[in-house]
Amino acid sequence: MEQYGAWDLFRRGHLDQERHLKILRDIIRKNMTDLVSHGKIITGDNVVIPVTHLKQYKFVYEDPGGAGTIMLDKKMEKGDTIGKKPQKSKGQSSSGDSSESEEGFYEVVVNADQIAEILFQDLELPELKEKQKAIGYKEEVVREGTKKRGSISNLAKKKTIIQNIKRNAAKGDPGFKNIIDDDLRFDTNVLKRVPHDRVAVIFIRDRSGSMDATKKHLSRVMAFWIIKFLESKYKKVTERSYIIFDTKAEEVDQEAFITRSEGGGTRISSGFQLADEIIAAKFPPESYNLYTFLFTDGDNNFNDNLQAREMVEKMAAVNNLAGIVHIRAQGAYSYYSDLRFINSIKELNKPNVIVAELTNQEDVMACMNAFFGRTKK
Amino acid sequence: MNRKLILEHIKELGLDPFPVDFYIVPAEVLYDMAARVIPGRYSHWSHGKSFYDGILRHDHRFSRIYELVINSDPCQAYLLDVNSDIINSMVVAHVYGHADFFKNNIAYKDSERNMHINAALRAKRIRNYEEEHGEEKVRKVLDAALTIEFYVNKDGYDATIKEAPAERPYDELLDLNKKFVKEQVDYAEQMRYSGLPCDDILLFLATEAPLEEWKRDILSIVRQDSIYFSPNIKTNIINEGWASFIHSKIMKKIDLSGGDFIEYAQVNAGVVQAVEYSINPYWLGVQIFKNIERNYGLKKALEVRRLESNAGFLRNYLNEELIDELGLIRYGTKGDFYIVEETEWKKVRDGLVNDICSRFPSVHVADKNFDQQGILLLRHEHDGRNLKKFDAIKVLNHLEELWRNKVFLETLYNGKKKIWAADGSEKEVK
Repeated sequence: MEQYGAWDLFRRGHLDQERHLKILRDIIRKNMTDLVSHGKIITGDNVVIPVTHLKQYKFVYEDPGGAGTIMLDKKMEKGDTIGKKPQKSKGQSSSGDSSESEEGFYEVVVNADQIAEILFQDLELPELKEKQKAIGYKEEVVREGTKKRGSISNLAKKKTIIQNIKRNAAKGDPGFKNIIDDDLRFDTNVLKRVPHDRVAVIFIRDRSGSMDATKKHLSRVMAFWIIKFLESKYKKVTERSYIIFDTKAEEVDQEAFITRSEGGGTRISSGFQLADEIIAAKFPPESYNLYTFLFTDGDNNFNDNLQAREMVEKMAAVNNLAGIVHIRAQGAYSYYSDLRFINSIKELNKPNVIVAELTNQEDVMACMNAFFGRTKK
Repeated sequence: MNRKLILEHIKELGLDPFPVDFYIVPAEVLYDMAARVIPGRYSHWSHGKSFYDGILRHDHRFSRIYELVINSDPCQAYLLDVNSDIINSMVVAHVYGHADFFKNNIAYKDSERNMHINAALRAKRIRNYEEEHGEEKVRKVLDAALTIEFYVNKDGYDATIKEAPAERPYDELLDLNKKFVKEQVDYAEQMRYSGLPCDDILLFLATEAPLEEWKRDILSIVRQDSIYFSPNIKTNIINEGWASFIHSKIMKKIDLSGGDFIEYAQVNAGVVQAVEYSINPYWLGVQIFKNIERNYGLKKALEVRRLESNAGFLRNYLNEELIDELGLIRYGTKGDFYIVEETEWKKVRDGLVNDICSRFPSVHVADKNFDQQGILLLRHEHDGRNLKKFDAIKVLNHLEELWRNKVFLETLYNGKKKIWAADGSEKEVK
């Protein structure tokens, strides 16, 4: 009785769901500035965004506040208590799912990866120079060319059709018809050593007393997004290194990088000096794509400025990108701002040395744009 | 499972169903059909959203659809491919119950019985508009039209557009574009409304709003879908009640082994179960039909399925005996607690009828040149329940995109007559 069909080819539900997600992504993109600075994201948690556009609004009645008709399993009299009202619970669901909250909003749960995907589609890596040696190799199966014999699952349809049309045309009877064995073309798969990128990121942060809690937090947010971005482009950022410095520099773990703050005096060159040593020891530039970022409030011991500038030039020579995040947050030291180091860097005028200013969390996206935006030049 | 046998039992009971084309499909297809309600209907993000929700619920076993029947001649029935044989017996009987209801209930008298074909043709037109004007623009018009999708009246204008009947089945699939052009001309000529006040807001906008032809066509497509769906909305309880009533009668006639019977009983209980502190309307529909059969015989039940919609069905046949037997009451809230508010059977019944049968606030077009400024004024007829302002204002915003001028809504809010504007402002009027 029943009619079976090629239902497994039926994709319309998914296609419409894709439309739904596209609108969702648009909404998320429009709210991106808020999201990027959302405190929860940098801890990797999911974030609930209220979305008002995704509900199909209609003329509806106000919620009568819990009244209606129900059935009871026992006899009750007018005025009897049936039970306690349940506490409304907030909709929590898997990522990308949505649930209606009391306010009539849809709450969409997104995680940092989803946001990163949307966020980074307008960003790209700096133009690579002759860095192609900076790559490791791994074996992978790749398609390469076609042949006349093969398994039918490897049939190269387009090439087969072209071959058929060519053959018919040669006979003076153009068109796609009468396929013969000779027309068939098959993809060939070969095992090949393919290049894969090796990436290292070095973060350098000023730990002197002038870097207060706000500035440290901004550094952390910024570092988080930089890594997210590089991971999205390179699949995996293989190596990271964290350096903090005052007058001397030391390599630390991520935790210390985020939290530590002590000492006085600032010699930016010391941070770069250590970075240079780490690069030489661990990440030879000919086999790594290197990114180095400095987080500073701009303060530097004035007699270090020249040396620091030289070190930045040195960094520019080996790094794909040397980024300076100039944190100008309001804080105890904001009344005085020494711009001599920052200005001297700006005067270098090198395409892969970029200074971006970060005043508060809303600027994170602008900073990312400064470093990786397509229109940065 | 023996479909012939089931059909024989169905006819023995005095039912007269449309013939049914059965399709066995995977869950994804079934949930897509359920999301767009008619297979082949146009693409819209909302269909994707409810498809996805349905599939999620299915995968997590929160709920499950076993079948979907399309009101057409012949009916199209889609059955889940993992249904067991015994479940499919129940589902087939259930489907025939619906097929009988579609054919005989007077609410479906003027149904477009080739809707499954027409929906695909309309989807094709919308696809063409998307290619021509872009998905985004088409979506905006659809989004706006769907906010007022229930405000249609098939009798508001008697020369509603009828697509030319096909000469042979599926003929129209041969030359879609020719038909496409012809239909457009028809719409342009026929989209007229009869005057104000007008409760067919979609028809009014299609006639009076400054819209390009393709936008008017989209409005008319949404309107035709709505007209097709309106009997389903008006009869969902009696229709589901009838189909479930029928399938349980049929299953009694089929010899079931012990194991089969348990499986059937479990699924049946899932479909028509009584829910504590709530009401499963399908369960209620079955109970009413059982009561009718007990008191007046099966012939009367057949007459009820022919003549009644939800409102009449509940008002006439949800009697004191049944309300007492089922333990139905009205509840309300007092502080943090639910309390029994009403036990008197007539008040319980009327409350239920009101909940189920007037779910959509009554709104009509009152003035198309309000304040001499070309403002569209909609009027809400207050029935004791306030409108939710937040949602109403969102609707007004959508409508302004179509009307290209201000759209106001006059309503009564807590006893005061107010006019709401799309920007959220309101003023009190006398």
